[in-house]
Amino acid sequence: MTSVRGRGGRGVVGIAAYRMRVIQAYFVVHLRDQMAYLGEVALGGIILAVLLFVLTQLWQATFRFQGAHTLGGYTLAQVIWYLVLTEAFITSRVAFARKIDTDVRTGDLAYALVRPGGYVSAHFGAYLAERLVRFAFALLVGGVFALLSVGAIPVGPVPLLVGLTASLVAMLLDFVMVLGIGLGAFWIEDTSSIYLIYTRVSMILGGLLIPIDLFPDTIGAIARALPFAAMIHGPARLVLSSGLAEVPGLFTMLGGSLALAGGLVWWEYGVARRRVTAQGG
Amino acid sequence: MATGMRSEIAVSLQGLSRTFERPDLGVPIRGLRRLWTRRPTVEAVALHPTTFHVNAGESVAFIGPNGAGKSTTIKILTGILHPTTGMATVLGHVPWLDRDALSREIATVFGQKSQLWYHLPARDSFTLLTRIHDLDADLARRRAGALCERFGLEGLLDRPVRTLSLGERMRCEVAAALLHSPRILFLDEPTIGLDVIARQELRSIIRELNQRDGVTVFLTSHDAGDVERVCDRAIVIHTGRVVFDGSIETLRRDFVRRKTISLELSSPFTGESPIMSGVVSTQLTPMRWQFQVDTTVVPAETVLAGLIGRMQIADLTITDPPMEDVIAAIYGQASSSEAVS
Repeated sequence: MTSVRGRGGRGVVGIAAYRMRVIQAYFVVHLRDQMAYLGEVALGGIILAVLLFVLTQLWQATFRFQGAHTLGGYTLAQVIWYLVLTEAFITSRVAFARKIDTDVRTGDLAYALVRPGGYVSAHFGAYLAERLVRFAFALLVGGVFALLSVGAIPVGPVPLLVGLTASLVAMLLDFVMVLGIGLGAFWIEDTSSIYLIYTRVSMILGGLLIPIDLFPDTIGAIARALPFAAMIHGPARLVLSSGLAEVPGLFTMLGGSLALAGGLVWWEYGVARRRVTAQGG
Repeated sequence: MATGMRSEIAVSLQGLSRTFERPDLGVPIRGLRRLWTRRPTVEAVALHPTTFHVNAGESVAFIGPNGAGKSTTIKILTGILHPTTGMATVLGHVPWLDRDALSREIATVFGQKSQLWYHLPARDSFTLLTRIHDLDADLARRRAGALCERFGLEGLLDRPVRTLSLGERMRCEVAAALLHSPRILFLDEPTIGLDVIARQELRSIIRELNQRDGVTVFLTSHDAGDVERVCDRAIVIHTGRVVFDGSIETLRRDFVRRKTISLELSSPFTGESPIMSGVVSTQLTPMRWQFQVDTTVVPAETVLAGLIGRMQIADLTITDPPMEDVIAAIYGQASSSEAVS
């Protein structure tokens, strides 16, 4: 039988290209795998529609109670479209920290590390596939809901494009943070509580339900100093804004957070790998 | 112990050992002191210094009871685990230093871990494995086609893995593991949970891979049939030490010092049942007798000579104990030594 042994990639560029091919391969397979879970994705869409309906009622009541046309610079329609964007980001989250946690505790991580291509590449390809499918579906459901409930709002193609790009960078940052939490299983018994805290803090301080512009000054300042606002509030606000004045600040925050979190998780992953080779699966 | 030219050695262990430090749970640390007190550790030996070699093209069973050190050894040989002392090479690579290069030349199949995607057809997993092993797509397609034909996977590859029987899935697993033409196949309990037919199929596939393609097979299993039908050589390990390394025939002959002599008589034996020290006789029918001989007490030849003089023998067979008994004896010995220690 023909021998077909591969080589993997030589040099920095070759290895990077090889890693990209691996990520793409995992992405494609998991994209197909997602098709087997279309029912689950659709159910998530129904839940999102119900959630948006409840939130719309609350915001309509708030605007009526305040007797104002705008709050913090947002019209009611803008707030609802803002919620569509932030909810799409949050509901598309992939809780793969649990999978890593399980891999660590059952020892499967050791076996996964033996495969070429890299453990992180495998998770990243899978994460992207799952996340993008959910994100697109949530945008579709939320968009239809917003159109029916408050109608269309003017959105520039450039802010839309830049905002969606910022969302993709935010998803990458989210991936790194969740990876870091999952790898925490090397040191603590169960990481699910930390993941729960991470998701709840990011929802509150990220401006999931209320744009950060409407936060009290002190809390708003704290929220803006943390990366969650750049992940959730920032891209949504950018899409709704007419200009690109916030783009440098947003991408600096996202890029800086990504570099910091990436560095920490890189170090954590290195320690974790050494622990695997020292202590076994 | 098997020896060979250096160039033919596929796996080599030289004084390889592994110890672990475990928290000493016997030392009580109460209250808030747990927060800052580091619990003392005790050293546990998973593998005593071990030396053996496996030549390229051999088919080796690595057997022993649970906790004997099998998994530790395999984890070291596949690059998962660092040893505490000693050296090992697999196909010239030091596994824990050169894990990535090694992973392109070896394959692992774990009976209880799947590398196929549950909801997708196995073909998609094959495509993914082609990419992660960075194989030439055309060559890999031809290789997959050849493997499918050989393993009888036609019609299975396009069905979601979840709809396959365990036997069908395991055939797909082995085919997937062989996609990158590994030179060594590490198998950990590959037939666990399979029915008799599926076991036989898988064993003959592995055997054929070894004999026809020269793939070195390193198998761990608690199943005597796997050991007997797939391997030529056995390495027995328990409590972290290699206690036997030799051919399967020698293992069966020497590990359990017992032989069974079966006689077909030409006329019924009416005398008293032959009584000999170290021999248990059983009359199966008036014309058929069986004698279990403990060869540490009396040689089988002596027993046979005594029987020939007393019985009218039409046919006789002398058999070694079945592999199940050999493995049971190995495990029993491990349990009793644990009990003693």
